[in-house]
Amino acid sequence: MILNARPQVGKKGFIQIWVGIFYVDNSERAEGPTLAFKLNEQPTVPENGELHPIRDSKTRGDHQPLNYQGVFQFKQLATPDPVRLHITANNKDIELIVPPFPTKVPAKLEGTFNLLLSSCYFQPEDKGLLGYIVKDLRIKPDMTVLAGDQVYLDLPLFEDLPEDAEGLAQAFGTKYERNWISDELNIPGLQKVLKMAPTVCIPDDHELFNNAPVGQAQLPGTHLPAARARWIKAATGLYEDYQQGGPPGSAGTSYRVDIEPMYMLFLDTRMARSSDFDSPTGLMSASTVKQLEEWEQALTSAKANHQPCVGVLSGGQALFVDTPNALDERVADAEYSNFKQFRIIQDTLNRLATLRIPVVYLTGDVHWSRVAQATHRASGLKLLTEVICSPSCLMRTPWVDRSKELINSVKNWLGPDDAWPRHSPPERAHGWFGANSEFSPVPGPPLNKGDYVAMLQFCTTGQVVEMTITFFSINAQRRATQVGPFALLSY
Amino acid sequence: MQQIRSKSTEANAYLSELKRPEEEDNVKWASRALKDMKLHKRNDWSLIALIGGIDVLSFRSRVAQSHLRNDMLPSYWSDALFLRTGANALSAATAINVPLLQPANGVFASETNGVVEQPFARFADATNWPNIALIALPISEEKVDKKITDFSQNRGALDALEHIVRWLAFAWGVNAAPNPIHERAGLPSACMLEAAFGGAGLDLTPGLETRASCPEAIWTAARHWHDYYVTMGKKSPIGRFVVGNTYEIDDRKALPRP
Repeated sequence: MILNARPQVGKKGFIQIWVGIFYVDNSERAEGPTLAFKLNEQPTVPENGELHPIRDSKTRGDHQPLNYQGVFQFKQLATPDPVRLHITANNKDIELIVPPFPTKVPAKLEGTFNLLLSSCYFQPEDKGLLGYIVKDLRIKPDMTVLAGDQVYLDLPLFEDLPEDAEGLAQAFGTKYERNWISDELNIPGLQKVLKMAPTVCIPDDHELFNNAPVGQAQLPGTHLPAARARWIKAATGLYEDYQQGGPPGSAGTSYRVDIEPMYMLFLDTRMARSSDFDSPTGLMSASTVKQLEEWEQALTSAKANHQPCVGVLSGGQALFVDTPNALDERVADAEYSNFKQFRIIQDTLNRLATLRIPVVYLTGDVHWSRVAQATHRASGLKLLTEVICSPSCLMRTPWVDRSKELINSVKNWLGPDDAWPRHSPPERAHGWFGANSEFSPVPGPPLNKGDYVAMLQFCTTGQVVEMTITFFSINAQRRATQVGPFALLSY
Repeated sequence: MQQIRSKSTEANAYLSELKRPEEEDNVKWASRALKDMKLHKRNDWSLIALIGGIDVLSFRSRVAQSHLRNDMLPSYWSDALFLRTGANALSAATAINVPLLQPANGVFASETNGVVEQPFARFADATNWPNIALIALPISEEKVDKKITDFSQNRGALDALEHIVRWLAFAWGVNAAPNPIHERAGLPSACMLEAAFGGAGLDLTPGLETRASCPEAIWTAARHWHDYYVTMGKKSPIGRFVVGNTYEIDDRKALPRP
């Protein structure tokens, strides 16, 4: 049996833990093993939480579930020190050291609030570097945001996936296991990243399949509506069980985290997406839209009360990118701007900018990294900052990547080679953003090509929030590239 | 460098010129200015001084900051000081800054992040420093003083010595060193003030990142961001200044007559 746990970002004043139990014995009861917890050596009972079978259709000999997960919440102890959370299930036990989750951004000279941003992780290409580099970062995160494509359920290309629901769930479940319990399986994976700090996961297309929910020619399992529905059902169940956890169907559609004076909202713009791009609910569910409205309201209220405020918004796709044409939006990838409902996000950002409230947008998806700021035309201020960090481990495209590597090895004979031969060159932000082109992205600092994670550090200086971003390369060089600081002021 | 424009339409009326009689040194002028400012609840205020020198190093730093001015003229100011008064007379005050020329007989600069404290009287000579502004900011001296101590012990938060080296390289023309302002590296004394005031809860130059601060930015904020402080529930900065040296630059005289 494998016992696994990781901290999640939960309600204010609570420690929230995702617990996974894998490969339980045949003798185990149907509800799964009994868990026992200790906080700082004291036996404790969680405020809530219970185990649920992971929907991977994997069973033991007696047809009972093989794997379980649950989300457990404990009241934060009244101590500024990290707490030791001890978890026992049968004869297995593990311990997590959980620092108190910050409630406010530290003032200058008192430290920083550190947010680790990572996305697009293709496990088969990881040589184990991601986990080890993140574990040894000189700046430790207070919180981690995994901004989409934590798994690639539709890759490798031409994989012979089962067609039945059970077989699909088992195949997808195995992929999740490789990423989530990699340390126990003794393979490269995301587990070290997930354990570093309380984590928020938001989905992008590869949590389902490329450009989901639009069927893909290269994926036979997505051609017909019934098959596509089977695929989506199996993938959604596992996304909920692994990335969010808790009872089936209880996963949120967006996640709000306020760390004074930052109001952060992490949006799910994928799992409720429609293949009808013009649908008024094509991009987000009604509850996501409601959370967006509440986030905007919180910022505008703070502003009205002359409180400092900075918005942090995160989604699975980028803002300052070109709109794909009618063919590409179906065959390759649709971007936000292909969706009619995206207007809601654009208008929200414009209204906040009109009130001079700065917003930082965090994402991944595009397989290159950059920081770009956009000038709000009405105020002339740079009020929208987009931070893209992608990928943490690039997916492999058959033949194309091999040919790039071969060309690069020839280059190596003739002179300096490319450290990242398979990665696409980053794109500069350009053009306009907004339903009525209210924002003008301006050329930013040099861009990053390659596998990266980014650490965003925030501190306050008076009413200002200062943000510095350091990109860490995921290769032997461990190059650190710093961007900023940026002064974020609502005035 | 990114700067946010203030929404104030008029300059801060509480920051006004106070002429200097012949022979009055900077300490006496500042003492008179402090009296003239009539600070209510003196202990709720901190004092900083902007000074403008006439030596070549001061000239280089004043010209470098011209990029922060619409008229592109040299700044009046070459350095910025925190005045530790203990609510006593300015004649007994000490001045804290991060001088570009570190004292040869002091502790090694890395131990203090370049922070130096010396009697304010060292800056008394109005011939060497003909420009001075005394600015009171609405936060207690004790709070800021504590943050300056933190700053002196925390190179990790902002390495003032890096700024010193970059400014000296620019001032001395080393290897075509660029104007540090263009690389968002502010004058170290101003960065110290920015970090200390910001850490204590008061924006010295709203909208400008700490590492990019400089005396000209502090001057601009004191003159034009008074509405901001009031909006945020604080008092407007109060100050007095005297400018005894500007460089003789006049386009109207220089242009050929039609």
